[in-house]
Amino acid sequence: MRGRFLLLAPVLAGALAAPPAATAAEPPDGQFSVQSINGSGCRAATTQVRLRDLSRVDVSFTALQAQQGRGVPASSRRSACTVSLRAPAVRGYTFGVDNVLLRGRATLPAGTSATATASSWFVGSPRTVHAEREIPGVFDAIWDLRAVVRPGSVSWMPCGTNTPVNLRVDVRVDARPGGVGRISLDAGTNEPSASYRFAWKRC
Amino acid sequence: MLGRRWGTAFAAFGILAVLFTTAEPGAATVRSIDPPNGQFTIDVHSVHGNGCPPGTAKVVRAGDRTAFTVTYSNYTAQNGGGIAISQRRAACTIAVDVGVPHGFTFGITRTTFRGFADLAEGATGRLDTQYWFVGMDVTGKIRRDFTGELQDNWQATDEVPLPEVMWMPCRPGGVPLNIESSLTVNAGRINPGTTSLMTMDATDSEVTTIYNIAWREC
Repeated sequence: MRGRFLLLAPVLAGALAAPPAATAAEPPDGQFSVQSINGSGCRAATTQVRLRDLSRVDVSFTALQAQQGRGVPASSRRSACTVSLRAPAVRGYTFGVDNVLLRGRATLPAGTSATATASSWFVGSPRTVHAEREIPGVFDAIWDLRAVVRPGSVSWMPCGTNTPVNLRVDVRVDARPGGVGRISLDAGTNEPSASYRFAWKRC
Repeated sequence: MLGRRWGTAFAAFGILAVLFTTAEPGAATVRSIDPPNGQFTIDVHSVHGNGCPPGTAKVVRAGDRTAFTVTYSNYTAQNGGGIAISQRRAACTIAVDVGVPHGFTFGITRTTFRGFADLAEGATGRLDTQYWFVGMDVTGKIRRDFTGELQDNWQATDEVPLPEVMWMPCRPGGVPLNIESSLTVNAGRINPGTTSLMTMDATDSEVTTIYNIAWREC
């Protein structure tokens, strides 16, 4: 099952800079730098970011999981993390997320379900690119969410800036009193929890 | 779904301020000149509140200081199911320095809140936001209500003009602005034994400089 990217409408479209008219380009040389890792699902040293080149970043979480069950506090039903990355200042280029792959494991009896979400936005912006997958029980296996942003819907960094991008992931077990379930963003394999691909173009 | 009553009212105030200022004689010469140098900037000075205790909030800034993100790891309000009453409201105030460009101009801050709601049937949640410039009278509040049964991520954006800044266009340095948010949850009477909650993941703010109105030099 494939997730689908939805583009949430910006609140003040008229005031936003016009999207740069440009053509796709190979990414410049260099690496992203990690500005911040924060959230209920990525406390101290449970997250690894693998900076490959400017077209791809992998993130692995070992503690991003949500569960519901007897004695489990309500706050454990959802777990989230936001990773903030800054591209090197390269004049004349911009980029945006155009592909995301999440994977993990879920154990869901009949009558329960879980949801995994990937959202991204540039620092300050109300424009969110969002993909979601709902996993209904009965399910006890590795799951994934693969989403491709339509070419016309990529949210680009404003040209002439090097504004960081925020990459948020969250998983949740859909609440139902008495239900039991678990979902994680750790598949237990050597593969990363989240893989992002970035499109580049000249401004 | 998300009201922006106060933002609209504030915009009207901003326009009044422009008219009044440009009609004021003697203080400065109103004329058509080149746009002011630079643009508004916005930067986080500090955060405080029970929704963002030390070590739980992180700040990411845009390189040109026209935007920032604050992320939270422990900003949750919850109620019902035996949760302590003290947890039904969580709040965080972001103290911001607004840098004012030289000359006379106009700016808008746009602030976006992103989070999650998990409300049982009959439970309600609330996002309250408030903006005020330190030492000034004008404040404003925006309230948004959420109603259970609901389990989803949410997002809300406020647009706040910066009219006060126009009264001090020649003031050196930054103008302190507070951005306060709070989440409040009421478990309600249908499912008082079920814990309902609201969480804030991130607050983003950006400032836009507008040059297409009258301005004057200091």
